Amino acid sequence: MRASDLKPIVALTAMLAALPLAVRMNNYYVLLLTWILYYSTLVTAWNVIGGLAGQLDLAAASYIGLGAYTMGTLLTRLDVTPWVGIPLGGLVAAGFAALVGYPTFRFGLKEAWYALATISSVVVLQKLFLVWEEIGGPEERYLPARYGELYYLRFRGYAPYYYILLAVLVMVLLLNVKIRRSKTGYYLLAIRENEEAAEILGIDVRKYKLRALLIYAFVTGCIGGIFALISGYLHPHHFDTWTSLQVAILGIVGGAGVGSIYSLPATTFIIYSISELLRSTLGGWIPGIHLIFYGVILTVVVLLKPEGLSETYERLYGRIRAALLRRRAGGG
Amino acid sequence: MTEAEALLRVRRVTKRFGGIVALDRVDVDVYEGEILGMIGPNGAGKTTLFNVVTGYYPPDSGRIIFRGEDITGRPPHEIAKLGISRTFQVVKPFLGLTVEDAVRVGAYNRLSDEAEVERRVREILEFMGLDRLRDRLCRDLNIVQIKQTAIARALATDPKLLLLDEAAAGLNPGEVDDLIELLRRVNREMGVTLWVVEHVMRFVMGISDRIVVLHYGEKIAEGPPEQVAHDPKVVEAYLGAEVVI
Ligand SMILES: Nc1ncnc2c1ncn2[C@@H]1O[C@H](COP(=O)(O)OP(=O)(O)OP(=O)(O)O)[C@@H](O)[C@H]1O
Ligand SMILES: [Mg+2]
Repeated sequence: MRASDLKPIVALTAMLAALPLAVRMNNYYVLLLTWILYYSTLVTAWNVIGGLAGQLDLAAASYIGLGAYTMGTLLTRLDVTPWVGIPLGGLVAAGFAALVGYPTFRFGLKEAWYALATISSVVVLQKLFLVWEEIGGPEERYLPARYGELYYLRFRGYAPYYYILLAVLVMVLLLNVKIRRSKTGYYLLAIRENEEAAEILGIDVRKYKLRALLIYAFVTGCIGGIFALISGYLHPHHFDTWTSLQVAILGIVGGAGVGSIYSLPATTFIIYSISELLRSTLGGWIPGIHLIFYGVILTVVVLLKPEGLSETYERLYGRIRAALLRRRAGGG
Repeated sequence: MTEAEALLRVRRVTKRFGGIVALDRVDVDVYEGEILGMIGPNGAGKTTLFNVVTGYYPPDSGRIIFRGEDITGRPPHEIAKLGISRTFQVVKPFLGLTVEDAVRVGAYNRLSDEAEVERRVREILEFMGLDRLRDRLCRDLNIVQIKQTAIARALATDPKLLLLDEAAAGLNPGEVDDLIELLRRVNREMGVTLWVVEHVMRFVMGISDRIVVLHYGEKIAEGPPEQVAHDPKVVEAYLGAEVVI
């Protein structure tokens, strides 16, 4: 990894680390920021399959749910620490991804068909956990209320989760930068651009798609474990199709796979904040206004900027930089 | 030349699409170091033969032998590893990648050390005269540059045999001459055996050591360019095609 790759990550981390302090640890805002970071990590992980490999994957909620149930079940039944439960949840999610992904790629399911197959997996798992009384069932299963113990990773406030997610986001950003600059990254881009051409250049398309899927599913499963710790209970509605859609929409609008990876957290930050503002102000009169907002944003961006917003940010950043430099030159 | 010397042997290959017999018991030998041309009217089966050789379609019957190894039915990525690459009649560019990155994708076929990959990419870009376009997105290239990039990324895989499907189509006469010049250098300096499908006669007659003629899925003639050009069967096939058009 080059130094120039690390600089923006360090800057972003410093900025995000200061944010809860900037809002004076206000509970509502910290919670809001925590959800923003949560979606940022999900979208950044999605970039591997949706951005680099170009597969419209809508199974995020399957991996989140599996990660949540794995971590939560181990914790409540066997008193296994989330430090172990979270990565195990990632592995279970990756195992499930392989189960769905292998035949899907084997039979060349692509585009709309792939999207349908993956979002169906969310619905199927939700129903399955609803009737699987042993592990799931329609009742909430609460995690132990052992607050403040590092072993249980349970906290009363949201700030600790915010910082845990920040650490995860940094890792996922680094992972993306590393993949993007590796043979695997170039191979995934080639697959996204043209599978047939990629094959005769020596790329085992199925193998590399599966690799991208496994990486993404593992990370998303881990994030699912953290999600369960934040929400404090397990329930089949954690297999939530809206979460899947939201991740993909944020990825598409953010221009996953085009330009800078930082466009994804930035887009999540902006869109989630606006949608939350709409929900809290107008949501009383127009229930679901924030959902409509996602639909509108997606439509507008796809129509006007089909490659997503990443270039827009880059141009904006360039302009701000130029203006600052000019001012400095003028002043000094 | 004896059969044992052939780099690639196509033996009695048949391929049907529903009722259409696209290839009918076709035999072709490609010898190491040569430039083999392949012509035939539209729909003769030229592209289909390339697709069968490079693993995109399995043949209904027949065998493909490359360097003594039976490669029939192997997937394209394995064929690429063995040393065959190709370009496509309908170009399949990596629109969202830069020229350099498109070539890099090919270079990973045989190399894993990043420094070696970098060197190979630079070498190929220079050889193809694409160095000043290296940072340009394929989306922003003209058709000639897109076709050059397609050859460049195929060469980057370090093939023994390169199949070119209508590389000269859409080029003006000057560009055709440049392409002939370039491919001769690929053949001589890089030691790559070439098998080229072409409608542009100026190109195929100018570059080929030997020519194979397909017509309705059958091989109807084979030999040096001047002999094939005067073969009554070939003349008839092309006249027939012209009448149909
Ligand atoms: N995938 C396919 N499905 C059905 N028919 C096909 C397919 N590919 C080729 N064919 C048919 O096989 C025959 C040979 O086609 P092919 O493309 O190989 O011809 P060609 O010699 O390359 O022609 P051209 O000079 O026009 O490129 C044609 O009749 C074509 O319609
Ligand atoms: Mg053809």
